[in-house]
Amino acid sequence: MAKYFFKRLISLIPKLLVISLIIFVGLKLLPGDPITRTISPDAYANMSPAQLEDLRESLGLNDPMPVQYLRWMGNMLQGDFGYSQVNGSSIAQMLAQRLPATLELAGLGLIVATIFGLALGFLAAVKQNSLFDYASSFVGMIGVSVPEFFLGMVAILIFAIQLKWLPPGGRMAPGKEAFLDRIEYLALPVMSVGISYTATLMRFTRSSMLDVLNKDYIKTARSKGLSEFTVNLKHGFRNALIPIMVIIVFRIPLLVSGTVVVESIFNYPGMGDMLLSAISGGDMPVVMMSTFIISAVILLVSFLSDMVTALLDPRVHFEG
Amino acid sequence: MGKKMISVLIATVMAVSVIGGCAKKEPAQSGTQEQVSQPAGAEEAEEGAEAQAVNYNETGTLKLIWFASNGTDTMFQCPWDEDQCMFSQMIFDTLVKMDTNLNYIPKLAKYEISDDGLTYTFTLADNAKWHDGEAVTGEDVLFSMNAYVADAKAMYPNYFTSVQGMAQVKEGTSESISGVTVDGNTVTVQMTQPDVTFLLGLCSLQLLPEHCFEGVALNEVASYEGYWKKPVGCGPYEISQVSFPNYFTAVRNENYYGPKAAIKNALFTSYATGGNDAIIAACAAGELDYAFGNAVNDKAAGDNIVAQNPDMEAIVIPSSYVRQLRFNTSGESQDGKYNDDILKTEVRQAINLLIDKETIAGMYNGQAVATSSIINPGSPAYNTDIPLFERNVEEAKKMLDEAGFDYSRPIRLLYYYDDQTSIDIMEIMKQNLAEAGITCEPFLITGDTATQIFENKNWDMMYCAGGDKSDPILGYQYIVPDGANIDKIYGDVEKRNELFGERYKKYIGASDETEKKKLGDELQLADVQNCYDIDVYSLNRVILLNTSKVKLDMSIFDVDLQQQREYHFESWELLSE
Repeated sequence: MAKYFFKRLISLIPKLLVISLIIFVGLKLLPGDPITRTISPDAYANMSPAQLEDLRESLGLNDPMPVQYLRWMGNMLQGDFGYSQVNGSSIAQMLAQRLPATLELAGLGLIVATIFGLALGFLAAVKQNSLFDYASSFVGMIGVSVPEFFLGMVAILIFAIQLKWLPPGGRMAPGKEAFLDRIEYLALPVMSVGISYTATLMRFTRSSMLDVLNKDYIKTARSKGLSEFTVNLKHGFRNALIPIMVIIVFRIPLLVSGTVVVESIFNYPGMGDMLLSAISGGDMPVVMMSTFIISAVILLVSFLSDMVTALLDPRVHFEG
Repeated sequence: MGKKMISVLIATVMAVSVIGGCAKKEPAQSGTQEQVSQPAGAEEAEEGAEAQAVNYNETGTLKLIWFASNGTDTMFQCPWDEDQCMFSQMIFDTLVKMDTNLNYIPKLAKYEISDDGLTYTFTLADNAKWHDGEAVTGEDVLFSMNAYVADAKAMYPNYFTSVQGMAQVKEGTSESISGVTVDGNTVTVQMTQPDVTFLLGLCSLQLLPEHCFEGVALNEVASYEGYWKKPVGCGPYEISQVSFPNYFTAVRNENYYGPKAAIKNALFTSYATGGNDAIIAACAAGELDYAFGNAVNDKAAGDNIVAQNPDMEAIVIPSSYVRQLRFNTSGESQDGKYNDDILKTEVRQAINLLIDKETIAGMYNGQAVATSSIINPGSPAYNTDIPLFERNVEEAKKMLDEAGFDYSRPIRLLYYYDDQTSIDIMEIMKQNLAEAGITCEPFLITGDTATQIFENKNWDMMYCAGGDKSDPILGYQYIVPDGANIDKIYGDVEKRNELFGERYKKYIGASDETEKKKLGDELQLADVQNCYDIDVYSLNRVILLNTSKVKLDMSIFDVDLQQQREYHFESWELLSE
């Protein structure tokens, strides 16, 4: 099994190299000048051509493309992620502040959605055709259908502007840096990120549970006189969980990409916003690095999902 | 069993946390339910006693925007490079400031000007100290001027051009401006010619402490991370806590040399991530006490916020900011589709008559006013000989015919503002020109806008911004030929120099108000007659202030100044937490 894991892990390296090459070449082939993309027309109007050439030279943009790529990769492998072309900030420092924020948002979204999705799906299945079942199906349908950005805006309008229960955005405030103090900042973004995930999981859990509850071994368990609680939870839910676990892991990359829009709506400074700002500002070093990091995270999560699937599915063998 | 217990525990904690997070916050002031049941007199008496007991200036917090177009990720942005309003005003100080009558007033230094206008002598306040306790010296002033001149991104690079030896520092051939000498707390500046922009430039020169930049090259001062992580200024507030990229807090500088700020604490929250929408939501939710910038600089948006949060007031400030149509008079475009009819002055004048400026200005709900030059018609600098705008389609048609305009060729109209109002304005202009038989093709550019505008030049007219100076006549600086990139789209260097260059140079050297007015009028007339650009509307500025919480002298909003204005923080007052 260790050999199988190791081989899969090693296979990530060429994938990452290919991704880095695609990102680099793709961005270099964008039309326009990498310097002037970062300068507003008003500022450009007052600059002289000589100043622009100095900037271009100082950033190494006059070197051939392969040289630039090798320098970028070489620096990255040495831990030097470069500097923002727009404001001169260290990209490593920017990532150090932004990546944990995104992982926190996505991670909490995953936890909350998993808990609610599993619990509601379980209850809907156990109380099939009850009012609760119909209501949860209805809510689930809405959760799947309504886009995250719309839910986010409605949540701000209701909970922040009208009721003033929660802040409309941000990640922390003075004296509210600890995790528990930040819950009020996280509540709405996590809800927005997690609601469609919750709905999806709820629907899968319900159908998986119903499938399992109709199995013969459940009837056998009941005939043995076990309590409904034990039958449903120990024999039913436990077996229903196997396909659901795969769904949970498979959806994690979607959850990470889903934070991009939510971060922007809730003024939540994470990776997604960093990428969007860099794209709109033409800040190519930041675009390259953040795209690469997001790709690497998604690749890693896909790897983990493969591993979980392999562990849970008895049909997978580790001779690999 | 252990796993089950952990799972149940995590589930419980998360559920309680989320529900707890949604719990209603207690209001900052004392509860209202009990008070409602009390007689009105008792309530007032209690409130009065409370107001006396609590000095909100000491206990409350002024909530502001941490604005920086460079972002708030790893360090502060140098105030020389961008107007950051309260950050610049609170943390830093300048030698002089402007009052609301646009007169210069001493700030960190008293000053004298020689009769010939060529020598300025500044005497620094004796007890001025940096936030780290070091004394502010004349050397700091010289260092700041040197570094400002060497900063390629400085907002006003032309304000110190008349200082002796400034050009050498800008070119990198000298480390220090030869025309500035320091003797203790006295700084003497020698000019090559009288220049009215010099003091204006000093209003925007936030002083930096030389001792914090040892070994740093002058052209790297504005981006030196070691300092801009937590800048040390000498302003009425000092930075106390920074949390990149979220917020920073400022606290009153108790060792300030001048009148101390009244409000003790200020919180600057970054909205770099959420942008305009997040600022609007924060204003509506009562999370901000003072808001400025593009997010709120829209009367309709301001009114909408006030409707949701009546504590806020939208204040309209008369501004010299204009939106205009600029012509490509370089005579060329990269794709060879340039419409050379644009080179004819009569054609440009005809287009000026065709644009329905009143309707376009009306789209801003009273915030904008149709204009004929970059000077706001309400400004004393406006040349009253220039008639107020009047649309005349018939006259325009006649002028086009006489100029031999080729109606079969379209005029390409470039724009880079992607808001809905700008898009609508483009459609109006298209219709306006169509009334005279001109085919106008508006197109939005994105991405590398500078290259598309100044290098490719595949356009005939461009919708853009102009003006925006405390002295509106200085807004004509952009049309003076000086070797900058803007010359690439105007061409016609000799003629522009004759029309604008000479007069502009005389204007900045003039000290006599009558002569200045005459030169200003001539510049406006040359602008309107030659139509290198068409000024469409002047857009007044909107800011938002929580007037139920913050009390201040509202006259500071009489004129549109951000960097140069004296804010008088000593008279600000918090009426609640």
